[in-house]
Amino acid sequence: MLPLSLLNAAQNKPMLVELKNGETFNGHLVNCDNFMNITLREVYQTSADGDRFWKLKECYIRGSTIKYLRVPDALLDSVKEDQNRARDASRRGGPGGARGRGAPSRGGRGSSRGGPSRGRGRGRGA
Amino acid sequence: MPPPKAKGGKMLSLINWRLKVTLNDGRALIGQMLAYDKHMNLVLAECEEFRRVRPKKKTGDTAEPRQEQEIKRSLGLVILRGEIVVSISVEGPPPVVEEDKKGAVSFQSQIQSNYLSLILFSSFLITLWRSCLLVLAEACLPVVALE
Repeated sequence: MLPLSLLNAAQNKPMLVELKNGETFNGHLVNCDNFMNITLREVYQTSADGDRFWKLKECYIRGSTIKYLRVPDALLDSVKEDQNRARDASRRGGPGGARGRGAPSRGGRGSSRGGPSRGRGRGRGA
Repeated sequence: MPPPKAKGGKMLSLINWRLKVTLNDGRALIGQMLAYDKHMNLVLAECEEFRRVRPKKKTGDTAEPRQEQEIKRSLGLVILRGEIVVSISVEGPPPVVEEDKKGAVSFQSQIQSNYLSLILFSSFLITLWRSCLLVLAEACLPVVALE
């Protein structure tokens, strides 16, 4: 897991973003990118000294201005679950896929083994 | 604190450890590092913020020297931007995982259930043995009576 993949997993989740200038933004994550640029919806903006507030419908925050993001603790569990599911799927997809690919080849080999012997048998018979 | 083994990179060896991260605004964050990247962006779990604040004294109260107060704030799960990280130090070893505890408990209960089944089986053997003895005794009794 990478920090930005956790951020990606936090889409549509509530979060608090503190900027380098001390302003904070409370809102739900709409989207983010690999620069940590984010868009939030239903935002409460708080000034650095904490005595002024603004309500914004939606806002964009440049990633380079961010100090940190507070995300829900429950996000960890969902990310871990997703990881486990992805790991299991890749395991099943990896050897399972190999099995899928292997099974016909084994069958092919088997039939080809049977094929020549039968062919030989018939040849000897003739 | 024994330094963790550096194998496959220093940061990798610090993963899951409790770290103290000082920021360029004077704050310090302490939390379990779950993830990092090449920018030193960090994911800190159960994160706490520590900040030194000197209380404002408007009145000329010079008798008591200004004491810096450490303000602690709980932040929870935090994604920290690498740009503002100044330094990182080890605060403590990885916290004991809940699942390990659960594993230990289940192992214990497994041992207990094994013990229970052993007791049940031995009691069953004992009753079997006793009934065998009874049958034998009954078989022998007519002989005794005849004699």
